[in-house]
Amino acid sequence: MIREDVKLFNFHASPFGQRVIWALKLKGVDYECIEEDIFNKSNLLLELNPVHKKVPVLVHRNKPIAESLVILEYIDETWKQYPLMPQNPYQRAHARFWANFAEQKLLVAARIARLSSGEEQGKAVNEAREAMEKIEEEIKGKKFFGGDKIGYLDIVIGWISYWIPVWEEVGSMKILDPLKFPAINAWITNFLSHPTINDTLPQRDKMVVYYHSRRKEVSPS
Amino acid sequence: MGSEDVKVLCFWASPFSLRVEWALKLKGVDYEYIEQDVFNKSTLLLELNPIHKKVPVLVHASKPIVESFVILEYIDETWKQHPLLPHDPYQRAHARFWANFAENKLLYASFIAMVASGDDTEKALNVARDSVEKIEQEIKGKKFFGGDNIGYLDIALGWISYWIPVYEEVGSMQILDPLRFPAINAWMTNFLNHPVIKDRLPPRDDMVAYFHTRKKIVSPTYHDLMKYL
Repeated sequence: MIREDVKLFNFHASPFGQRVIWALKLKGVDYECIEEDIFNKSNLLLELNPVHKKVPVLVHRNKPIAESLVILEYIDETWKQYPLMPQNPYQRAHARFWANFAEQKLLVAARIARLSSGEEQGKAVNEAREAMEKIEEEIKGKKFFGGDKIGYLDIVIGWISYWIPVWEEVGSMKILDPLKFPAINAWITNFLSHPTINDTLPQRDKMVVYYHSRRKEVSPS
Repeated sequence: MGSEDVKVLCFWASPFSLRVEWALKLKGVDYEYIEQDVFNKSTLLLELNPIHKKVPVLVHASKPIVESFVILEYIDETWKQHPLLPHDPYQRAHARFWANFAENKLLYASFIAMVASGDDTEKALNVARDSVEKIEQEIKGKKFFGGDNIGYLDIALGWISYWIPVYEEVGSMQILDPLRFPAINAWMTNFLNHPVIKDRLPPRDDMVAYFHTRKKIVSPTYHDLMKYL
């Protein structure tokens, strides 16, 4: 383990912070995790991320980096062991494209679905499934998005494997139909079986409680 | 310079495809410009970008790359002359952060302010001006975001210098107050006067006419855009 001055400001249930944890762990980078109460943000967090006031924030050698995808690229450029991004520029562009796609099309829709109900939820679930369909095509025939090893795109999309089942439970809905998305489901099994990935997952029951309370806030019924 | 098989599918009024052209021109990379009618999309565009069906598309050695920021990074990794991103990882993260910020906060807000009405215009204008204030702090004391030379962040934010004044005119509003934002205004002048940038700007009259039409078309349904604020 490499000892450097690395701190991660995170919230236990954040899928964005989880990405950063996975990246640091895969590279064997030691870090101090500082749990933030996102409903009562510390002055320190507000100082480190004044623009967005959000987690995760990575602090390396006293310099803060915010935005999980920006942090991932920083980590990959700073610690060269276990490269996350492919070497080839075209494949890197490909990975970044799909990272953005999943972020804009799947994450946004899935989030709306876990907070809404009725027609609005139905619409969001359909949008999430449409996005899944495209991602299904991308993972077909591959063990990981990165090939034989977990890479950048696996880490970016990895939240699907653990957060979506929780959101499905909380929102009483189904997005990840194993009959419709066999390749994604196979990838999920591979991904969650990886010891480094599995080792750092937040507690499921805590997550369920948290996301239930978020949902109740938005739709008290 | 370096005749390689590089094509760019563009739309003349798109700030996104112009970014790609600026990057290629700064690096002296030859390319074929292919104008697209975004209201009557060609089979070629739909084939090359089936997921988003949008410009720009960069085609290099027969392989398509889409999404303007993804394309900029590809260009910088493929052609090493005139580096766009800084060398240092922390400064690279800084540039990427601010590019995303302007894209998510200012780009939508300024367009929405142009097409919305009543209180919603005020709401959008406030978001836009707040964003500009933050960007003002970033450019203070610098000629370009990239330092002495135009870099990635100048290219990513360059649309501000030419599109926002057009939106201001079409929307009869002000975002880039020169008294409130002197540093950004100075940067805009520097940026627009750079020979590579100056050389490749769409005619302003055409832009104003185009966005007047867009405003007319989009205004009735602008509420759909409010969620992006």
